Amino acid sequence: MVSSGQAQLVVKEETALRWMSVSKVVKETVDTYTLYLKPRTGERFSFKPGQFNMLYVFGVGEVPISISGDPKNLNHIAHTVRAVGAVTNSLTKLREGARVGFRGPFGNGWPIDEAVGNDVLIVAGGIGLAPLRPVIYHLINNRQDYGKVFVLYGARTPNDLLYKKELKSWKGRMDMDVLVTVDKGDETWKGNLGVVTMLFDYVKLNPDNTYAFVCGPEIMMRFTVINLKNKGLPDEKIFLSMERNMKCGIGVCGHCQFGPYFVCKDGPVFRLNQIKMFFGKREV
Amino acid sequence: MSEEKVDILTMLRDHPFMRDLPEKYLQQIAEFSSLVRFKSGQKVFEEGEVHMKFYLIVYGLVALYSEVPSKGELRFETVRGGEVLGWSSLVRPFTKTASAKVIEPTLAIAIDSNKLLEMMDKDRELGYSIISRLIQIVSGRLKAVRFQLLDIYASLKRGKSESG
Repeated sequence: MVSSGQAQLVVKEETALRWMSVSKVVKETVDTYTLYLKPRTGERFSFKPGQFNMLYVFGVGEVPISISGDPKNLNHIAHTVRAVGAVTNSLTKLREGARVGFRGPFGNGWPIDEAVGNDVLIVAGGIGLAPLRPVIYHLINNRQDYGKVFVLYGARTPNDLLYKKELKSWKGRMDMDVLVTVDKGDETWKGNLGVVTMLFDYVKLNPDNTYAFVCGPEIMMRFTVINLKNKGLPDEKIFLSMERNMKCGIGVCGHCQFGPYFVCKDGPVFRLNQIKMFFGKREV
Repeated sequence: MSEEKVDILTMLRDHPFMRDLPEKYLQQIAEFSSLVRFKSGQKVFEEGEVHMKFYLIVYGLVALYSEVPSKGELRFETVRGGEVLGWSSLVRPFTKTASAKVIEPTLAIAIDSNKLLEMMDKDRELGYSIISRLIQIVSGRLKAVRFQLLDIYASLKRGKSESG
């Protein structure tokens, strides 16, 4: 905005660094924690399922982390973090009362409005359930707006499953089919064994009326897409959340370039026909 | 035909593995098949043994596993209603490639593999049909094992990105 010859810098709310305090920490697995962040009094925060925040640990650095909580609960913003590097290690060591810097929300999110009136299939692998959990909350909160809901979730072992209590409660619901599998189980595991794509044999999808939301390691998404195509789902109804090395969050730095897109700004959720040229290719 | 054989024939007709198999074959197979009920925790067969039964699962859940020293049972696959158990009883050397234990109460049609093999030998059309169905099962399991070997859920740890 320019007025009387003076340039005025307009800083968008989501790009400015703000601070939240950790209100609760839940240990999900041996190396994965969910941090609940409380906005400061009077500060408003809202997000769309599938969006992410840049979380900042003072003196260590900043990382993009998907928002993993209920979009209706804006007093405690959930982020599920796996300790894989310096910043995420620091984040998982934070405890109640600690301060976390954040910018966001960034990204486009899942097309929950476009999917209204249709069946929704959610396919998650490993920590990929985190950005999809807000979608599941949204579907439960607005159950009458959607057709059938299927959740297929795979992890390495029973100990690697996220949100165990919620999985149990979702499984108990009559209005959605939740199937969970692990690659390897021990004697205590009473559920499915095998890769997540195996679960496709146990659900009846209507390809004309189903939106698929997929998140997990890229190789898992590649195999999932093959299965979805075999089931007859069109590219336009398959959505994938891509992961790249995001830094600025606003499509300026170029770290997360993916073909002609920036994952932070144009994604992280992409329709399959947008990215199928680059999907599964090395160095793209 | 006894009442149980009639039930078996009905279940054979409905089972995905037998889909589109001519009725004359189903009737013959029903003659040397029986219904078996397994309780949770029951062992069906053990890795390395020769167990000449081929099971069509009607309902329930069975885990396939290997016994790993110091780790116990390492379960890597489950089969449930509509799937088959014990394909190795139809392929030389007929030894089991994994152990099987029941997780949920299971009802299965147990087919005498010796008799089925005999029938497949005599009637090559049936033999081809059964073997091509088995190949689909085995190739599906091979794909699943390859997928498991990729250890896909761990790939994030090896990646450059710290995003979650």
